[in-house]
Amino acid sequence: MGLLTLEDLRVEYRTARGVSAAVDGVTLEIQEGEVLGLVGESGCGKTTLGRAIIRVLPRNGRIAGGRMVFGGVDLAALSEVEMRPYRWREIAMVPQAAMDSLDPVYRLGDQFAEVLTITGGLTRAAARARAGDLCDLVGLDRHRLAGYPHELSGGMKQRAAIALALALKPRLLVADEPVTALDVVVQHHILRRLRDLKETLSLSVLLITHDISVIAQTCDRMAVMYAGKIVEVGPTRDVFARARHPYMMGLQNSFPNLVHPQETLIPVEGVPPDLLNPPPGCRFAPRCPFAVEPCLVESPPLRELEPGRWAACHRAEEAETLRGQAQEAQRWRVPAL
Amino acid sequence: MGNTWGVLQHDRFALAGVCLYALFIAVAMAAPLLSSFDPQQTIMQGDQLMSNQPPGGTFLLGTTNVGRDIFTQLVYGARPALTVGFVAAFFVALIGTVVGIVAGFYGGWVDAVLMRLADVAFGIPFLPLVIVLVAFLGPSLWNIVLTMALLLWKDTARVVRAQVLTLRERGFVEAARVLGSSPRRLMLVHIAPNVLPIALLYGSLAVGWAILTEAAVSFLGFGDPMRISWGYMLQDAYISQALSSGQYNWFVPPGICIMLVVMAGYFISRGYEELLFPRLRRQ
Amino acid sequence: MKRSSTRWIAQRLAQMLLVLWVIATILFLIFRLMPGNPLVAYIDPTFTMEQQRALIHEFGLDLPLWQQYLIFLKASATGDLGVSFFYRTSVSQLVWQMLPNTLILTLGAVIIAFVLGTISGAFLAWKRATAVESVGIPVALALRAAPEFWVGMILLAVFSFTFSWFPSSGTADAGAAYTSLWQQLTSPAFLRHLTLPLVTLVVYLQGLPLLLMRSNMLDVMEEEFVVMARMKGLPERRILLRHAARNALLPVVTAFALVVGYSLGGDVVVENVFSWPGLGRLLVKAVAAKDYPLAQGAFLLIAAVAILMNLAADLVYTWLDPRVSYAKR
Repeated sequence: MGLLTLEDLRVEYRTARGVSAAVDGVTLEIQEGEVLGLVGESGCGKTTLGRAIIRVLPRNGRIAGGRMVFGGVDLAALSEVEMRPYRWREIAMVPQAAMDSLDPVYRLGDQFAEVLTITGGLTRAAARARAGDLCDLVGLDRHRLAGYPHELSGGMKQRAAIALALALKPRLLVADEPVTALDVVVQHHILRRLRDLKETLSLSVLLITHDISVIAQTCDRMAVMYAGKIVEVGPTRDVFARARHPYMMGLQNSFPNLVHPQETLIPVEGVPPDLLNPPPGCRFAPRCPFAVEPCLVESPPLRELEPGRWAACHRAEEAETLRGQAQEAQRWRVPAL
Repeated sequence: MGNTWGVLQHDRFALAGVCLYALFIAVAMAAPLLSSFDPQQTIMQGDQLMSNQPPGGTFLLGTTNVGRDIFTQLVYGARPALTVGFVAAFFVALIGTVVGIVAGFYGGWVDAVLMRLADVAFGIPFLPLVIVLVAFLGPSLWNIVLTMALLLWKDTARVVRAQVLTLRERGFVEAARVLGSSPRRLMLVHIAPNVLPIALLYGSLAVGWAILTEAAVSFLGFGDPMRISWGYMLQDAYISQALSSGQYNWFVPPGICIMLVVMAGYFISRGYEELLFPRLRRQ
Repeated sequence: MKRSSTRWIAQRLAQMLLVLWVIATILFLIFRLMPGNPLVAYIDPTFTMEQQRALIHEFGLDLPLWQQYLIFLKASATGDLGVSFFYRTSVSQLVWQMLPNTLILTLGAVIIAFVLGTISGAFLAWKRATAVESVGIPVALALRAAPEFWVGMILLAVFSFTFSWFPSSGTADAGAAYTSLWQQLTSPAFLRHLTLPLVTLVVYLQGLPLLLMRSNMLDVMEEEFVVMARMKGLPERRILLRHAARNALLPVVTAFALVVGYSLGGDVVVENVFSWPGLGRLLVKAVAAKDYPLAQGAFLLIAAVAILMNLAADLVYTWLDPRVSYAKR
């Protein structure tokens, strides 16, 4: 039984031009004590998914359908008042642009104290002690608590954001692009720190990113998202070694690989579909080198091909052959249909 | 520039502002058609001076204590108001833009001197200085306009300068410079058109400031005695004890007119502001 | 830290003196270069040419310009601003007497306008996309567009003449006088006299802080740290006040300097509407009567008040925003 189970979740945005479903029927499970990576390009809905889980969406966004079952309770059905106890105490978030997530006019220590005393109900003294412990936990110098956010470097701000997220010992941490804005050395340290924390705190982490190398380094399992839908799920190792969905194959091609270096990187041509009017059939079909007639007509459901291995592709059974063909740059330049 | 029309279409307020301007301009131009009296004329009916007449009948808004028709004064008052407003605004925008372009383009000591000048001006309270200068130069409409133009340019200049600084680094300016364009050509042909929207924005704001300033100066007794402006009407009402005799018909309408014209300027400038500094939160 | 802050204050004071000097010089030139006899206000028509010449000599007006300038500078530095043509008494004494009334009215109005304006602005931002906003914004713009003396006139006509709730002029009832500043400030009669001019000036000044605060709040509420605060499970009221408003307030404080600039202009006008015995009324009377020394003195003092208020605004801003340090300035 997973810690958090998403069942056919749908999240919509109301815009001037109509309604678009940024998250369109997502079914996904996060296990206890695992790091699940969620990868996809910008605009695929992964950030929306993260924010939907913690139920803090922009003014024009809303959960339009599905369930989010956490510890037996459907979070999607809760009222605002009922949801509040879950925020930060059970589910916490390290948002994108953690740099900006700290209030510039308050000292760091005060921001820790605020969440610890008000949301956490601790006394001021206990809060102060805990803030210090949290800093040690993430490798942030305790003295930084007396200063202001603008005095910290990018890496320090990220650590502070992670420390804040862990303040009330949540069971699930949603980390949205936690290392994107940092240089590779700092990235490595922070990702390593995240993995360690997962072990010591028996934490589950949903790691959202567009960079599959981050997934490869840090995640136990991974899910690939495209145009609002999940297209592939499985243990990281297996997904990398034996991708089942053409999009994942394309992703692998477009990132450098140290073990099997390619001569040139092969990008996935084209752009994701407009979610205001998604095309019928598979959303990846217009860019897919292996698309066939049925792909345009019917949207492939997410199927469990082997225990723990899911893919949403009509041709998933032929994956082995397709993987070989995916290495040919030529195939990616011209769409199949 | 094509965006200008678009602004008017989308922003109801800006459209309202333009309509109000059009209305007042029409009134100002058609004043003789709207009223048969002269604003300075003291009206007699037979032997009797028509002073302090209540509103109604021939005198739509009543008469002043020396028998002048208030409606006539109101309608003719649009002329000095709009003249002062647009002319002063034009000069404020012009001076501010020129200073801003020169300061931003040349940088260095030119910039430092000009901005220091603006800073010093910053500490000086505006209206008191206008009063002193107008008293010095003599109470005529053009002196008021001149004084305002001399003092109000700093806000425009500062913003234009900031824009020029960003433009200077942009590709097309570099390209023109490499191709050997003279500084004057660069400024005129490449930079000026790009700061025009800002100049227009502050110009439309300046119309309001100018009208309010002229009204205040006239109210205090330093206005042009040859022109019946709305500010003059308010001063006239005040010293003729219109307040204590409850002649609301005399002193309320001129204020409303001032308010409407200035508001029109604000609405239009808000529309431009959206255009120049769009907020990404239109949801 | 303390050393650099003292240095910064000293720098600003020096800047202030520079501006005052520039103003004084401009005034000096204006009044000396005006056409006609400068003493026209002072001179009785019965004075003979002989007496006029003697007077001119006494005032040092027959000296070369640069000598007059030096004398003027020296005198001003020691606080001697000359003698009023009209009142025949020391200018310094006259303006100093009027200063408290102006300060009370202007400072009081600016502070109240800022407090009211920022609260209303934050409120309007909170009530975004509701009927409150659609009514509130045009009303705020209308108040900003209305000439302050006209608002004063209406208030005067309605509340003082039509309903005799408030007195119509001055700081004290006819015949009464105040024994000390403290007594004046705490006397109910004074407060009744103060009400209408204060309200007028507040109505005039609150527009800018209101619109600015609303605009900033709307921007700040979209900022990441506000969204974060919501994710942290903090109550909405706390987020609005302690996070959104606190950050939105900063640019409003910088606008304080701008408001100060035209608050004194507004004060001049309001003082004249309500016959409030302050520097503004004195300035207008002096200019109208061509009483140059008095006009000069009144203007100088008004400018000094403006500059000091600017300084205060800068101090408040530095205290509020931890990102700005004295050293950086």
